[in-house]
Amino acid sequence: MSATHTHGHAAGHEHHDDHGPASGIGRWLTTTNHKDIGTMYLVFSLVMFLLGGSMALVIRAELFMPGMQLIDPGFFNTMTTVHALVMVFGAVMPATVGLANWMIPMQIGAPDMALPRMNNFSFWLLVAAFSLLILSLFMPGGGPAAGWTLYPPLVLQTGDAFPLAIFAIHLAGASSIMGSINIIVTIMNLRAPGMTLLKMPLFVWTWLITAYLLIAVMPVFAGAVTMLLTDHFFHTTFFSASGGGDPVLYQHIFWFFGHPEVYIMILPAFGIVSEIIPTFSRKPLFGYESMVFATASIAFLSFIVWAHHMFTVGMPLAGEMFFMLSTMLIAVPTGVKVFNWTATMWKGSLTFEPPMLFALAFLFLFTIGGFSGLMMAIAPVDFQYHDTYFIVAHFHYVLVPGAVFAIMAGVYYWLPKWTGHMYDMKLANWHFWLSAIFVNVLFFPQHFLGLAGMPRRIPDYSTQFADWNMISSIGGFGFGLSQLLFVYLVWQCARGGAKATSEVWDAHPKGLEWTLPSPAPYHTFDEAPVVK
Amino acid sequence: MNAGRSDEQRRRIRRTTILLVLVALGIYVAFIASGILKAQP
Repeated sequence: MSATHTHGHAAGHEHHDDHGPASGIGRWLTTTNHKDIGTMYLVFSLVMFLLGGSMALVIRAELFMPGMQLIDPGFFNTMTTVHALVMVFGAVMPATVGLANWMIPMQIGAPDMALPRMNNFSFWLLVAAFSLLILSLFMPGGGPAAGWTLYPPLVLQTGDAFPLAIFAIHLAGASSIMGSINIIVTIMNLRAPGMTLLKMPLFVWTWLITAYLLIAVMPVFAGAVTMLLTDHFFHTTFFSASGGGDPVLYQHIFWFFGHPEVYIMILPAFGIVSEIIPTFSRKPLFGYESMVFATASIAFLSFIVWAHHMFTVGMPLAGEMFFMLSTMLIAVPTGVKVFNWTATMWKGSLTFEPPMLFALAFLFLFTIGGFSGLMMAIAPVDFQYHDTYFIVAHFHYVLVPGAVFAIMAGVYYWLPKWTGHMYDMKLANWHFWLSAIFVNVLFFPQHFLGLAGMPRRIPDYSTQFADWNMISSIGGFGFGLSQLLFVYLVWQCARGGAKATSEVWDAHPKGLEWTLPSPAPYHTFDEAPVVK
Repeated sequence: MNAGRSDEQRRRIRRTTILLVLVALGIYVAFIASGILKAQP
């Protein structure tokens, strides 16, 4: 990240006549303040993380032993479907939007987001979306149960939950698009004087690229589910061969959205880690510009790899070759990133505070998920892996010790800046070690299960898979319970604790946000700082 | 917070917002149109 120096009143909060936050519930319903909205997004995502996590525990409890134990197969399918929708659209994405809301204005020296009212609207739209999705669980015929990919014709068999789930997805998509527009408009128009694009912190860069990705692919998903809706209720045949349509078309459209969606979740995580590793290595980020270009390259490549999710559907050999090679190409910019983070630490004066521990775990474990992704990119090999637990292991490595660990690293990094208090480091270290151990106990055995042939999305399995499933379930419950420590730590830090300094960390982090006092005042940068 | 913005900045914010909304709507319509074209009996 570029070195930044501010002149004048960087905080600019002491002199103006602006009012503070309103009191009571009205503050949260009507706020247009980016910090309030960031907090609401983060709290919402934490609630969704716990809810989606509870669904995962239902799944793992059922899979603890072979045979049907606790729930019926239909409800099992509902759990796998809603767990994924809640975690992707309700937990991971809103968490990164929350971090963006809090940090982007502070990192670019802006007083707020460019479109504050739309910011409030996009948050409450998300709440409405997930209220509908959760309500759909109680509809006649049960909740959505066709998997998060909502493939037709299976999804068209959903009962009364179907329109609710589709409407929920539309609302969540509209919320994401509005959030992205806000982020792009803010970054392009409200940067402090002197903050050129190549001086922006990496977190801002990764979010700028993510926001463009979101605007490009969210309408695609919205289009796909709109067509599902008309197929279901208005007798169109977009995805039905009987009327001239094609169910495989849905898969193409879905994955044209679905693969960039993976990068929508992971690019902001890259940005967070790119902020933390330099701070606790006490060195500038190695290869800042190559990091920016690698991020842009990953975003571009994400548009031309979608059919690697569909090798087993069948496609011409040239298609298989193209999607196989383009997928493998993503390893190059990703490798640049992993190399740069490692080179940043090389000969650095490292310390291992909780944000750094989570960032390091991200580096190791995300790389494991990346490598298994590379294995699946090989079309003939993917024929063996497809729809097995190997896939489940792969994407959970990318999303849990990948995206979720990076989000936790970001929360541990910036939480004292938000609350003005330090949290209990010892407890945070406990949280880290328990999470890091149990996440591997949970997901690593799933590689073995997949390689041995266990299919995904089944509530019962052959006895040959019993041992690793039991171990995986123990890991699941250990990981789930460990997260209660995180909830307690955040709650405790919000309530009080040792006073945090403006720099928070002894490592002297760089960036405009650290020129502000802790906690960051309600209104910041009314007077734009000048960046050299 | 909006009070401190110059007219030029407001104009640019409005312009970028409208452009991005149109892009999103255009993609939505284009993909449904592609479905309509593909689903001809």
